[in-house]
Amino acid sequence: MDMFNAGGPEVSIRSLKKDSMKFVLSNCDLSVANALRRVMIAEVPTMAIDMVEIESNTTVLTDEFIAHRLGMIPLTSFDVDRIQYTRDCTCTLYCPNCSVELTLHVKVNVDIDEMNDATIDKTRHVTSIDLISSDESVKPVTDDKAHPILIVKMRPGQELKLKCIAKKGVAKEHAKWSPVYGVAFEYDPYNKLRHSHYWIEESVESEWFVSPNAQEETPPDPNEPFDYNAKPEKYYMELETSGCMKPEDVVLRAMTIMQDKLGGLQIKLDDEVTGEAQRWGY
Amino acid sequence: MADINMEEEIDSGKVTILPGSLDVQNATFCLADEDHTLCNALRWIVMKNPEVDFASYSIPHPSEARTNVRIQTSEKTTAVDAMFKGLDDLSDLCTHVISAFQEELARGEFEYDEESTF
Ligand SMILES: [Zn+2]
Repeated sequence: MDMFNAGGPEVSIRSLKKDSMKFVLSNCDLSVANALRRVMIAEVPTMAIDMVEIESNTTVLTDEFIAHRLGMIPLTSFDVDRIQYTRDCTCTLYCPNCSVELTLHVKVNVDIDEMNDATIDKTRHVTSIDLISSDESVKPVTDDKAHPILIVKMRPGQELKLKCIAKKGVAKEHAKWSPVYGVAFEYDPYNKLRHSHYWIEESVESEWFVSPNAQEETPPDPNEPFDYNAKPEKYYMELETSGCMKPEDVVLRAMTIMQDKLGGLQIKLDDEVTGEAQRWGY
Repeated sequence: MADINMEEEIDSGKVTILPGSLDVQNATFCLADEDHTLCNALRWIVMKNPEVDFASYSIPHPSEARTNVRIQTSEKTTAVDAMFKGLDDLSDLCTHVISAFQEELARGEFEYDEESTF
């Protein structure tokens, strides 16, 4: 590792919570930090509802509206490595190796006495709690039992009956598979490198506040000339997960995915070089 | 027909060396299904190699999932070897970040709260 600046990248964790974490990555290039950020957002696989078979829907929302809402519900994905991608599976549409089934059946009965009493709220909230999963490790994220995710509101006499197929996927294909709701990424809070160009009326100092991360850096000296060779060194990262997996696992999986991609490329490049040599008769 | 052939070209094999681009020191590699995520970091690490004169990447069209990486080297190495070294070094770097992250987790010297959300 001697080719990297003094000992290679360093990690310093600031806080770790149930579904968010803050850490500082330092002594590495912007491209590497950005790669980590991009993989966490778009290439860490999770489970999400991908197919919906609606048997009965007499609610006010259309089938496709409900199907879309179901797709956005985060599902616990701690055990996602056990599940295969359907494209790699031997089945044609879905099977237990590459999918998890969830069902929902809510029917609101008409009670004549209740109907005549205007003081009773007759609206039934159909939420993520009503989704019954066939697999204990893949079910809607319901940390806050008092505030589950609302799917549709129903009135007496209406019915919703459906079957959902959850599949493994990555957010490169659809954002519903992203394990994170957001990744905050900051470097150079004083803008010493001038990578940011602030819109101002009179002065940057009075119109733009400096982020809390600036506490870890030395303030710029106004008499110092601009260092055009300077490179960013510290990256302040903060990620918030959907609750589908632990934040530290998102980071670790992301780095492992990077390695897998690199390993795959080495094999493919090897194939190509061998093929090329044969073509030219070496 | 032309469309089908083009798709085959991109799908078949993750890495191709673009025809006509290869002599020993110079090559353009076409990486299917890769984008800025990997190629920018790869470009950086390939350039860290002192025997590499030039390394850069481009995405010819946003609707085609492929990236071209151009490498030119001095006579002490070859473009293909520089690419292999880049892939190796970046993988080592990932290993380093993973172990640094795991050590930091094990050390546990940070604000920790398993229950609260923020
Ligand atoms: Zn299957």
